Amino acid sequence: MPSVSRRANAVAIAVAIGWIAFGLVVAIAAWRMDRLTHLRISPYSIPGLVPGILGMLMVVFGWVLLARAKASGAAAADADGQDGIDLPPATRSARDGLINALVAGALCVAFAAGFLGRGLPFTATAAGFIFIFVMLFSWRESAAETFAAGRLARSLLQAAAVSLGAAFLLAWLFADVFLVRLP
Amino acid sequence: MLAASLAGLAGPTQILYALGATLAGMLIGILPGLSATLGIALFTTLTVRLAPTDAILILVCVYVGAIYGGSRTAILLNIPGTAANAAACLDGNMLARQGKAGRAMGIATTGSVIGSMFGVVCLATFTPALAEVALKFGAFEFFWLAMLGVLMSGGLTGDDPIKGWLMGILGLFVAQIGLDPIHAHPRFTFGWNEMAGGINLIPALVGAFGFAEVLVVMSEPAAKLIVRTLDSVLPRVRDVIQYWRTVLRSGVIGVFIGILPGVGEDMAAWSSYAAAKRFSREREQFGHGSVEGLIAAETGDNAAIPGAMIPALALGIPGSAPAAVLMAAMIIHGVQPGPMLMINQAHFVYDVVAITLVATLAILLFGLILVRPMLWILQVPRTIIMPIVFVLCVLGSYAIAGRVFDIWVMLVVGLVCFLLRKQGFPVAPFVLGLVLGDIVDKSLRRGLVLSDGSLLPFFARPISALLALLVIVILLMQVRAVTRQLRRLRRAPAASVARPD
Repeated sequence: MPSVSRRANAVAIAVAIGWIAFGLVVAIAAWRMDRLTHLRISPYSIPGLVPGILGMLMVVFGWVLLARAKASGAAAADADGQDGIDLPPATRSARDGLINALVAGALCVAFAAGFLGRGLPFTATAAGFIFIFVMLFSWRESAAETFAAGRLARSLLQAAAVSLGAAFLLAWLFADVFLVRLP
Repeated sequence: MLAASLAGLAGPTQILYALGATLAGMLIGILPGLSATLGIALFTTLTVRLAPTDAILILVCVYVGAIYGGSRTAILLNIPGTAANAAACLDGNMLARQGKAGRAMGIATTGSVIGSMFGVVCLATFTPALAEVALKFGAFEFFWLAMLGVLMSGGLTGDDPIKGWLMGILGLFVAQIGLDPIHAHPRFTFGWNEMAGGINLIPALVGAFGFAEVLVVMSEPAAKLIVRTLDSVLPRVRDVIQYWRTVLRSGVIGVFIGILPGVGEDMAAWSSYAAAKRFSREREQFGHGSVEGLIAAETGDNAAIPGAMIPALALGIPGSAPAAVLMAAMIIHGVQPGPMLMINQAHFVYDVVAITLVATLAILLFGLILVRPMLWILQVPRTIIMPIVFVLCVLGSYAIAGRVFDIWVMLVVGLVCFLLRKQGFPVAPFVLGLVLGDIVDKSLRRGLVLSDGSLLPFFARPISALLALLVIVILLMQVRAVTRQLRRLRRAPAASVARPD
């Protein structure tokens, strides 16, 4: 049984490089930041001081992650006498989980960034989002139960009741009870 | 002053707020994936127009209720409702599998109430004392204290301190975005007006703990309720008397760990559990349904709640991620936590003590009378709960300032935190970094200006030297651990390959 996968190791290396790159960008941006010499401020209070230090720390710790990921990959390759180990086929639940997260993320972003703040009434938009989310994931998690003959109408009614109830309740709670503006 | 604070909470509105918020907190704690931090962040947006004491009453009740409520999920699903209840899974769920779910809940209630009460006493006693000591703190001490918070949170909240520290540093960096607090110079704003105001804490937290959590929950298999029937949930006095040493020890450990900057309730529960196991006469029972183990874990995590509020109130350095949000909420409501709080608004400290006491009584009440109805919430499918949580996240992000930009902040932070969490990066240090970023920035630069660029005062002043020593020891310990790990990987590859994902 392989203890480390080539793909997981590649991801760990990519993440470490990502941190180093981000840290470098932050450090360079901080270095190039205006030092406000025309205001004759103390050189120890320049705005880029702390971001610069933080950028450098990201580079240092990113480098530690990189060294560890590389050593871990090399150790696995040595142990198996090959160049690395191929990932065993992803399990169905892991693949489903990834697809679920992608679908949920896309729905959430579409609702929050695509529809809100564009003049559509909040309650209707929220109810629509909840309805689609409930139906889509009910289908993904138990298609047989949701769409079996005679159950579809019940599933649709349930989802509609939940989405309308939740949207109206939340809108009322925020807008009327706690006097907060809705997007 | 405490009596006056308690009297102020005796009005019908305040009682209604306390009961409602504690119940809401318990429901948040019961739902796997929803944390106390998210609960406080969302309720901060709801309570923004209330009077400061009423708002803090609601937030503290949500905090105490959520940490307590999470034990229900730990016992019945073997999934911690909040991170603080992870230690309770070990014995709580085993007791449930043995048909003693009701007794396990009774023990959790007893432990939580005693732990919280003990913490309340410490909160009332230590906060004024610590605030007095903190009056001697200057920029140098605050710099090290904030760094210590980020390092300890990063080092202790996840499996890998390096990843925790990176998240802490990321939080510190995000806090630098916006106008520089000393010279009002824009930093990393890219000419965007909305960015000049900085990244608002609440939308960022809602993204990190709300949106990211929705994605994490949806990406994992659904949990199933294993226990549907309950025996008596009434706490047994005999359990407390038999394990009084464990209860006392766990209370002390919980408060101490709560006081440590940035460590939090989960570490308090684990440490209390480990100490109970170490000194127990029934060590072999631990992990197999030990009453002592469960009572230790639940006493520890609840004692850490008031413990975490002590440095938040006295120093302005939160003891845990939920306390960080609570502190931010105090600032929104015009209360400035820190050494001057005892001088300017001493009554507020006693208000918080009284509020925590009321919240503790509320969890005792609900823990006894609302066990079965609250279990229904565990049977609601996540496909219904998660979209509602996301709508709450959107509303919560928008409500604080009425800006669509904050919804975008929530989305971006949520997506980034989801991806990083999937790679094993903990989110709690990010929160601590975000809250402490301003203190680190101002303290370092003010300290350097005061000392004309000399680093000596950062190491030579007595308290500063002690804090610096702690920071250096934590860093050196990790340098040693990493060096050893790298050497081991290079020397003995087959046996010691680290878990990458």
